[in-house]
Amino acid sequence: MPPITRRDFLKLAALTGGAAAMGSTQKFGIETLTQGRSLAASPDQKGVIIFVFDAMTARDLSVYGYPRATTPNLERLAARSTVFHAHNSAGNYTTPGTASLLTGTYPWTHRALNISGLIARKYVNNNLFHAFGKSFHRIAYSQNIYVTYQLDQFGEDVDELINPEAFSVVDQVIGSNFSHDRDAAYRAFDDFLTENSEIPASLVFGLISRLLLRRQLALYKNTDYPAGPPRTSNYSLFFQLKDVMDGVLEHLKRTSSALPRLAYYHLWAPHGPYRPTPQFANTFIDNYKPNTKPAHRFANDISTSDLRTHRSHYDEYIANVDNEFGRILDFMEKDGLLEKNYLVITSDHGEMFERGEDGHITPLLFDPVIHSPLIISSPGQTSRTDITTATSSVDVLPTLLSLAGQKIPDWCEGQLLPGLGGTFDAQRSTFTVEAKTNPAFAPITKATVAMRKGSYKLIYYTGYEGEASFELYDHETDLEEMNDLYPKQPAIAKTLRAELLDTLLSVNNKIKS
Amino acid sequence: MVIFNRLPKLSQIASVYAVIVLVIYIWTILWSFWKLPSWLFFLSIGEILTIYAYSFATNLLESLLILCLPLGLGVILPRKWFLDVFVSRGVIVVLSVLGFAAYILTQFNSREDYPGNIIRLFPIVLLASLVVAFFVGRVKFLTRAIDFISEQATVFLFISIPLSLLALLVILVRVIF
Repeated sequence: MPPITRRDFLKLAALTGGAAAMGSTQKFGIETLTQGRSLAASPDQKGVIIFVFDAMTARDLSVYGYPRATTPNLERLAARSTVFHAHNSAGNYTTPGTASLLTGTYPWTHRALNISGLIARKYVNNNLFHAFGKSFHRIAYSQNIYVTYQLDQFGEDVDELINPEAFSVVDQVIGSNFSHDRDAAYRAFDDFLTENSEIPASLVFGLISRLLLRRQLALYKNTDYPAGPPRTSNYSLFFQLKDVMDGVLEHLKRTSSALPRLAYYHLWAPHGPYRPTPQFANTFIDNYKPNTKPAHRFANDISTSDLRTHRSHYDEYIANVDNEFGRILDFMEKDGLLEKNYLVITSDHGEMFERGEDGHITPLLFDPVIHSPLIISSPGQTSRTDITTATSSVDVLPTLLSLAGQKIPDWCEGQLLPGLGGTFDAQRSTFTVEAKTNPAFAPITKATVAMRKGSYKLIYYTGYEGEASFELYDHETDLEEMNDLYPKQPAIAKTLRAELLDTLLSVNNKIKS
Repeated sequence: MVIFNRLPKLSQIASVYAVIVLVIYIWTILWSFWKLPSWLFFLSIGEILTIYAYSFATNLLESLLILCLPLGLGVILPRKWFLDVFVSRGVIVVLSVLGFAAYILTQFNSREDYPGNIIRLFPIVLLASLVVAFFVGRVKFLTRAIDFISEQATVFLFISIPLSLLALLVILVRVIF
């Protein structure tokens, strides 16, 4: 018997009056799909709630020892969680970083390499939601439309997909109106015809939509955001952090499926532009001076003082995000959600303010831009466990499946996280891939690849101007990555280089074949 | 009906519409060339063609919207002022409006600013274009030149209209099913 499709179900629901049972979800623009499946679930089956804070580097979080008090609420959560201290994202910007998190595979496998790229069409069923299966109520929300592209690719694997603009104060996301063809509509309208970041390709509607949007913004008044509300940097979506957290909070309260939930909330903040409320603005005008590092040849030559200013704003925005998240944590503690669910806090990638570079759209893969937080609170956990072994975002999917008692699929490239079923493996290598200007359908020839093995990290730059080059750092003695060991420790460099190049050759051969 | 008596001949409408089509479609196609290299990096040919389908369907709607402007002026203004020399005067007006729209689009310096001082000039631009159109309509040489060029442009309608209708059909199928 062929599987029941979404459309089949909707037709059936309309015929039998079952549509009424779906309830009204118009308020948040939520598309609810409760497919024809058994609602029976084990009463002790735990759910999983994942919060992804876009562009949140672990390096600027006080929960990881950062001297500025940016995350008191995450510290509170960490007191009852497993905290991973050397967790690396598999990508340094949203598309590959999130795709690795959601598919448990490296960017060279899922191929979501480019800024608004997609997961290779033949692998779209290899995702977190599909792997958890229909015995979970699978919810997904992302303010970042690049992630929504991927969530849309997963199609019926997501039971409830909340529109990116759901909790916004001002927005103009036309693609969301095309529920049957959202991905193409986002790309055609919001990324091309009426786009806000470049000159729109539609001369008339592009202008009209832009004028309407600016008019709405001109009318927006809120003392929390005198310079205008925070916004996403890629689409016309303006929000108040409080509203977004309220929206998520309401959704957490409202979801009342008989099934355990698998909820994925991907929040834009603290991604730039950093716009903290007055309560947090200018709170980090202090004497903190991070190490000054020499400018990198691939950096944008941003001055040290500018980098420090940007970092302070970023830190203030993180403190703002943490404060808002504190309300969600309060609710989860009070409501007992932490006893019924695994709570995962992580990021898709980090952010850097050093070596003449800020942000994360960069060929550089230094620690701040790939070192993501990973905090997992297990139901009933009462004490903190710290894991210092290097881990990767591809490990999250198999670990969550294992914790939820689900089968780990063979396509998954990650391992179980130490402390949550996995073991310490000193010989294991993890990778981060930056290849935004490399075609997704071709072998990787223009990229930066970082390989972490034990305490060593080898970075390989290939395809850029000048010769291919390597850098080698030992995190045990040099977490700041100041001392390039590549010319100084040739034996280790040779071994690691051979492994990295062999791995790259192997994945490229797969693409060629 | 009175309004239908105030509409120009179909051939005249086609000439003005052809100029609108030329500007609107070319604007989109040129910007697509800027995007195309990145699309080719990660989208399949089918996915790229879908973006073009949305674009051409949108272009069809916006070109029809702009066509309402000279048609409306033809209805509102005295016959001798506009309708008698519909093609050349209509072309001048739509080119002015579309040119001004293109200019405004280049004047947004950030994602949030509102170039109100420029936008407030729109009635003046429209009025100026009407004045220019009126005088151009009195110069035989210019009228003939504009008529000739816009008539030649109608050949593009034989491409744009079927293409846009096909695009619209494709989108309807994708959106409904």
